[in-house]
Order: sequence, then structure tokens, then C-alpha cells
Amino acid sequence: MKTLHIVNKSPEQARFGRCLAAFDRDDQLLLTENAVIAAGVASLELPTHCFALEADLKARGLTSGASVVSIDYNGMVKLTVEADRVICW
Amino acid sequence: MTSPTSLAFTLVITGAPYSSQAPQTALSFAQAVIAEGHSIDRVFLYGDGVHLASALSTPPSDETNWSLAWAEFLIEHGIPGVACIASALRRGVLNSEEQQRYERSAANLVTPYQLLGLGEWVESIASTSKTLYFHGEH
Repeated sequence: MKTLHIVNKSPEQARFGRCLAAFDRDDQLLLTENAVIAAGVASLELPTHCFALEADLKARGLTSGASVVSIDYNGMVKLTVEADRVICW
Repeated sequence: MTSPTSLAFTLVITGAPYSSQAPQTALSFAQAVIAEGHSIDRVFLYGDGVHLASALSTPPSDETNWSLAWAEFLIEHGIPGVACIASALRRGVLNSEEQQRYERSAANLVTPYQLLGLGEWVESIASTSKTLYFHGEH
């Protein structure tokens, strides 16, 4: 079962850590709103299948880096459609 | 207009406009859902999210009025908007029926929202394909 985890909390919030703790190897992570800050934190180890909303990266002056795939809202819809279930943290 | 692979979404907004990004993210997502050929069964406002259904919200003219933007989107696409009645009454969002019942000075529920109980929410989640929550910062 493939779960899409959508997290909008900044990385220092407890809920962000709980999301990563609940993450299964084949799951996908989507960073939105203040969570995209995680894409710019070098010390933070993010899962392999990690995406970030481009509009939120741009609004915060960040780029996604090599390990995070930047997507638009249409891409977000596609991820939710393809996932077996979606958890919004 | 729906293709065999199209899904129906239920969106739940729990973050308030102007103190969270939730209504903004949810609207961009909702527009993309329609653009991708899928549909939206219902939009629920719960907790602080009910502030989105207040007609009295008056941001400066050079800022987006999220209440208005959402109402226009719902009307354009014929999507039912529901504000949780228990959340709404506590936060001063009333329709004319509740205004009369509680003898308040004004009603401010934006068209096309309805004030309904959580039964509607349960029913929608049970029948929809995907439910997404748009939370505030906490």
C-alpha cells in the first residue's frame, strides 16, 4: 500500500518529525507551505520519494536541491490520485 | 465530462484565512483538481476554517479576499460548501436562521455555504474517493 504523506509544518515542529517516523520505505512525501524549508536544510535526511510544491519554494526564496522533486499543483493532484491513501499531517 | 479514471475529492479546510495558508493552498489544489479532469464532492470548513465563510471579512483591496475567491469558485463549479455548525456558531459565523434563533444583530454566512452537522462530513468521506485536509500551522 502506497501512502502519500502531505506535510505543511516547518521542520522544527514535532508533527514534521512524527510524519518522518511514520514513513514507510515505498511511501511518498510531499512538502507544502512551511515544510518546504526542509528542502533547504542540508542536515535533514529526507526520504527517497520526496516532492515539494514549487510555489511554496519560490515564495520562500528556496530551490529544491537534488534530492527533492519540485512540482506544481497539477502534480500534487496526480500524486494524490495515484496514492492508495493520503495522510495530511 | 468525467473520464473513467476521474476521481471525486472531498476537501476539509481547518486553517483560517490570514492566519494560515490553508485556504490558499486548498484553492490552488481545488483549481488543479478541476483542471486535471477530476471533481470535488464537497468542501468542508471545520474549526478555524469556518472563518472562510464569513461575509464580513474585509481585507485591503490589494490583497486577495479568500472568502470571496472561494465562494466564486464553489458557485462556478456547482460544488456544495459546508461549514460545521458547531464550529461556526462559536466563531460568530451565522446564517439568518441561527441569527433569529439566538437573537443576534447580523447574519454573515457567505453564499453558497450551508451550516450543517458532522453527519454530512461522515457521509461525504464514506462516499468520496479521496479526502484531503488543509490544516493550519498547529
